[in-house]
Amino acid sequence: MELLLNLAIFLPLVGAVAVALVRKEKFAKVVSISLSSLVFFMVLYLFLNFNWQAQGFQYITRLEWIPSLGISYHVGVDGMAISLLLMTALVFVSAFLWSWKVEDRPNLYFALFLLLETACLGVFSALDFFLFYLFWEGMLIPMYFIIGLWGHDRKVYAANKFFVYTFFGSVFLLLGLASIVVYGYMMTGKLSFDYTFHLGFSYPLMLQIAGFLLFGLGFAVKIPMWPVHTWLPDAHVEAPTAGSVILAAVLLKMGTFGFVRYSLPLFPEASKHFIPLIFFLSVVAIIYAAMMAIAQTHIKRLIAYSSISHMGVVTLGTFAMDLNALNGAIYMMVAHGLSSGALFMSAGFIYDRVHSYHMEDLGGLARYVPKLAVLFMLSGLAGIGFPGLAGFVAEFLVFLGTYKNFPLWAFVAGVGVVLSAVYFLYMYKRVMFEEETLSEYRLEKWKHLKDLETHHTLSFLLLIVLAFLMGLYPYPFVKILEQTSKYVLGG
Amino acid sequence: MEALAILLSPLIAFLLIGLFGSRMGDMASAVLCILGGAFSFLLSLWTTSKALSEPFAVKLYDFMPIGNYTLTLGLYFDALSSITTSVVTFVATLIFVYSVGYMKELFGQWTFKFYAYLSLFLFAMLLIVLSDNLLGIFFGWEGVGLASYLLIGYFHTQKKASNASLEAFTLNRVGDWLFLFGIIATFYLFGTLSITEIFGKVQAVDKALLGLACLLLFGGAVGKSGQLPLHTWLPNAMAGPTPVSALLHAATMVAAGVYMVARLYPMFENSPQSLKVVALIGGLTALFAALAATSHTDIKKIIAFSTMSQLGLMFLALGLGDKMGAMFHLTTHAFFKALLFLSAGSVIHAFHHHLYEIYEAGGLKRYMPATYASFLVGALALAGVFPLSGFWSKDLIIATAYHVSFLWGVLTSVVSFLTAYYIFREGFVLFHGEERFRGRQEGEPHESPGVMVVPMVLLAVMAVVAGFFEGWYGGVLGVKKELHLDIALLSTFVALSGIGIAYLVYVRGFVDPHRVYESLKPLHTTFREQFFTERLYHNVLAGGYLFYSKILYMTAERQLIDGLVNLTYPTVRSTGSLFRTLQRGKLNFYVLSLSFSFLLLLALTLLWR
Repeated sequence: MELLLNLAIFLPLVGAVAVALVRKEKFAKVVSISLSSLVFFMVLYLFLNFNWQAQGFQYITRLEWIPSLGISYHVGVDGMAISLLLMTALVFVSAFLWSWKVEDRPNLYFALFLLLETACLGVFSALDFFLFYLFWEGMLIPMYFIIGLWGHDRKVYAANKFFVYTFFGSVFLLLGLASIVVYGYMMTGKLSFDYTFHLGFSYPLMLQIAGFLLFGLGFAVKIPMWPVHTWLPDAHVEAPTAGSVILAAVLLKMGTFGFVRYSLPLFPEASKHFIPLIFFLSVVAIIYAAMMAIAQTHIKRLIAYSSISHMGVVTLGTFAMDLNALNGAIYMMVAHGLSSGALFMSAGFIYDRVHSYHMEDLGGLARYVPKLAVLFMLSGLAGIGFPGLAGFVAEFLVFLGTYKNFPLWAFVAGVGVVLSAVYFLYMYKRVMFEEETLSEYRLEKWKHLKDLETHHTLSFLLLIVLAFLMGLYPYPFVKILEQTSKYVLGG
Repeated sequence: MEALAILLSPLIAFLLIGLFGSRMGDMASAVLCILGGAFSFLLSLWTTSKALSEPFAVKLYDFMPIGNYTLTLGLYFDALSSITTSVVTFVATLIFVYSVGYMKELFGQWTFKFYAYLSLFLFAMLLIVLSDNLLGIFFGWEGVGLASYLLIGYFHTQKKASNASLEAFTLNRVGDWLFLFGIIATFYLFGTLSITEIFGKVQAVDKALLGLACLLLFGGAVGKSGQLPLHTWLPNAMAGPTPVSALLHAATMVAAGVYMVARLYPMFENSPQSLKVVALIGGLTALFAALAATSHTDIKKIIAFSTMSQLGLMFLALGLGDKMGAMFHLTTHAFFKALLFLSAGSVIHAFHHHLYEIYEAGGLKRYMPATYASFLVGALALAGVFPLSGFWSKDLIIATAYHVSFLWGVLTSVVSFLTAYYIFREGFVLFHGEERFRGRQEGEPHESPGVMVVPMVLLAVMAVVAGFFEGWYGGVLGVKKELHLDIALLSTFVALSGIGIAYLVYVRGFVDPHRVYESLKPLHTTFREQFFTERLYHNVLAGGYLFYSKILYMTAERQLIDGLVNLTYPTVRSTGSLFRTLQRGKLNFYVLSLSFSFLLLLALTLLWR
């Protein structure tokens, strides 16, 4: 079992090397899809065998790495990590399937994505600060090239902005990590980068506040929270479809994951101090980003803003200091991964066929690409928290948990429920409906559009089916998070 | 199991049609949809007979843990829910049958979707009616919202339809937002979401918090039932095909709000303050919508406003403590309102979906006798003329209103008067008078096919006889009501005078209605524009939201936040180039700065002593 986790993390890396060396297009595609599916089944196996009643981490591997600095190779998962791993592995399968027809430098493309998968899986399973930071930064490089090489018109600007901005945040994260490692050394005389080692400390308040701010800035940029969010819409707009899918589904979760995994347990006192600030930023993000979303005419930019809005719900739930809210926040990470992935696929598909993301160029598509119309609608419903899909369970738990101690915050944040429906349906209307407003020229063009191909449908279905499963029978998916949440809240 | 099948048969129909509809064809889909509804109806009769003797619950599965509480989904059958189920499935099935005739011309254009949505609609409605917990109700609640969105926007190629559907979903979501927080407040109050457990504890909880929870829940009902101030979607929802309007306005969707309040009535009963709000909203809406109905000329919109007004009466009854009156009126209303819509649809069908203004038709009774008769029965029932069903149910509400306060009583009488007037205005203009449709189309309008007429006849029968079940209905709900002779006489007089005025004006032509409307133009426009609420919502609220979002995007987002971010690049660059000059390898500069620094140091050491 322990081995399986390590295999799952590093198999894509091996694949990346193989794909990069064997320069055959078919090989790259087949290897990527089969390896990522294999990884998914491994993670699924781990998920199914996860002991949800036990506290602490499971499937732990610990090897000495750089003993003189107290750095070890230490991986393991808790309920949150295994859920995120499951989602990540699934989204990668989906992204690879989607890329079946990529023609531009396919080997490099697939190699970078495989590299990215290792980094993503690594971030969620690392239990050593050094290892965590390695994966955390490691993910920047493939993503930078994915945006910079396969992106659209302003890809270089977006890639640079993405890299510099998130790197800027990461520097603070590094400082934070270093400061608590140094503190640990000063207190015990033992230099250790081990996560579990540091859990035992109760830091003085000043250090907690400093640590919280340093970690927090790094995570906030990655989530992204308002007002350090402007890199995200640009990155999404320029990224290729599969890149956007991974960016929205997995990369954004690293920040919220970081808050739950690091900020809350390491700095419990400071976290309580910052509740009002985080709540304010979350609620602003929910409402402000929803307003930004409806002002857009670019589909991908709209979806990017919707992500920011939903991440506001996650941060709200994370800091509500309530079991249900935290469960809901983690649930939202997974749910949003599925829905935003599917939404970006819809946008990408439209671009592939029509070569535009702009709503002025679109409209009336529903009749010509009916399969897309259905799946796009389902993705959107998953996104706006429609009951029966995963997002609803998450939102309900977050609002319920937050309402307990902060009823007014919860109620105001609840406006997001209305606003999200408005911007999604408004977009859907302008993209899919109102054929009568179209020009003859476009209608003629639409008549020759080809609907979803098999690989598109498959990648959609993977995400949507899990979203339905998590929406219709959330019991096991919530239960598996409970011990993590209890632990994080200090129970 | 049989009980579960009531819920599942429309769901299965939906899934089958949705997945295989394109291969099965439209007719097969329609048949499947009808079968799903009919099967559900038959089973519901059986469960009703069982539930009347002994209420029972069906547990489904553990849905999710909320802290230490585990939410289990399930169904609950008692007199209220099982009778409502029967009514809903009965009316819905008849509408499904009718829609085969109505949509026939569109077969071959993916009309299977229409039947899939109808089945989804019925499923979601049954979920609301039968769920034994608040979250289950919310599932159905959002479900009917989605189904109505899809159905209202069914002709999605038209801008009008897609706008109407967007508006419907948005206003419903506003209600859902309140409803969701009502559920959350209820959960913290009672520690459970199961309605039977809530009823057990309802006496023991804090009254103020209970009132808050009730108001939030009622907010959901306001959205779903199109009450003030979340009402503008309801008349605009007429953009959908007529069977949808009938379904939306008769047994499902808008009825859900009234049903929900009735379902949770023990909660509302224990917070009298919230009941006052219910009564106020209901009463205002009843009057508001009745006034709006008098000045509209769209065949379907008049009936739509009438629905809004009648629902207002039901809420008024609920608010005044008369649950039985409200629910009984909901039941009879389901029959005659569906009947009215189907008759209106029959007229529209006769003109091949090109005629929507009442003044463009006229004198139709010669050509469409069955439709005329149906409309007449529906209108008489709506007006509350003895002995049709509307008379009995309305009598209950009016009696309650007069009993509570004279003011409420007068309000209900005024609404009844207006109701009788506007519905007969529509009827007389459509079916009597000169044939204004001449020249609009080739040939004469003809009666609708049997597949449409039969459901209308069945509904007409129910609209006539349903009232006689008043005693029985009160019995099973455990309420005893008597007929109030004085009230009955009064409301008959009111109804007849409304009809009489409509007759004098529109058949006899004593007054020219256009001239009257012209002379009262400000008033007429105010009513027609729904007191300008629609304009307010569309232009000020929706438009303003969009406008300010765009402004905010251009300023705060692009210029301020992103501007600052992008400013870092030139800042770093200029600072960099500033320092770069220091080390560009120019020897003169090095020597100069070296000697200058040396002098500076020397001066400092000399002066510092």
